[in-house]
Amino acid sequence: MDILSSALVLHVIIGLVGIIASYAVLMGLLKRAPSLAFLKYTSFTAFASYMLSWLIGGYYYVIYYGAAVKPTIKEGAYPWAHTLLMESKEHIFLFLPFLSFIIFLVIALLGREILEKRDLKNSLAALAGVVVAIGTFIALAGIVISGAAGQ
Amino acid sequence: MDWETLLIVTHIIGTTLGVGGATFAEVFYLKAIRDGVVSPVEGDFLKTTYAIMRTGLVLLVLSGFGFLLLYRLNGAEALLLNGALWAKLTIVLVLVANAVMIQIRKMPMWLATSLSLTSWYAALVLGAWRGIPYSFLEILIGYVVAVFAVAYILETIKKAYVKK
Repeated sequence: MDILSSALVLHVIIGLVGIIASYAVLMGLLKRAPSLAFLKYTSFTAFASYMLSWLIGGYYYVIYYGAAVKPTIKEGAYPWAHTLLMESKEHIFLFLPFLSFIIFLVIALLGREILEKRDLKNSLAALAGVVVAIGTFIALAGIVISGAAGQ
Repeated sequence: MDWETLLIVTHIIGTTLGVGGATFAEVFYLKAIRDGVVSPVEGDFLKTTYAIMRTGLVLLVLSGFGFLLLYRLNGAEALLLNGALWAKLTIVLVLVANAVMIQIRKMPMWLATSLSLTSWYAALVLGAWRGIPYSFLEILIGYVVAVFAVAYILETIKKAYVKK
């Protein structure tokens, strides 16, 4: 596998690990008695995964996508896959590392306080839900963009 | 072992754990509520079964995206816009959302159990059925009908099995 293919695979799989970790944070926060250690571990995994996926995805975009894939999609049957989905994806994605960092920071700094204050726990769960929803949109948009590259 | 074989094996294990987990979750749930009280042991069995289902879901999603990457890298990108694939993705999203709704108690149990069981079996059927002749919408209509049919069957079994 060449470096570009490896970059694409790592970008997708690490991003997916981030979404799964965010989903684990959400489900953990919705429990009556969440495990603080589990929340710390999964929220950090989510943050680290989004950062890594961002860096690798950025590399792939600059080195390959922009020059080779983007023109193919724009000339193909579904140009909106780039003009609408990719353009949205590359901006909306920016929420993920920052929101997941906030979630990790709150869990790491406030610790047991989150488990004792129901409103705080519910707000954090809502934020984790937003991260999962954005992450899911990003992943699905990626499938459509890749599909459009072959049309 | 090549990547494709590894993905197939992982995908099958994920689906097996999910379908098996959903089936046993239903059986254990019916047995647990039969006397009107969920004992700690019964609760523990249910928790373990849900953990197995979640493991199956993670394996299914990771290996599923592995297949999508394989299509992309092998120049078979057209498959990524296939209606059956998107129906399967939608059903997996329903499974994920259903788990959240159960956790926040915003989903009636008759619908939650049916959604879980039907979605896992639907994912199995869609994964195994090559060259499905139906569109995205047709598959989803069939799925919705199946959800309510399974809910009716489960409720009928529950009424007959659970002690009054």
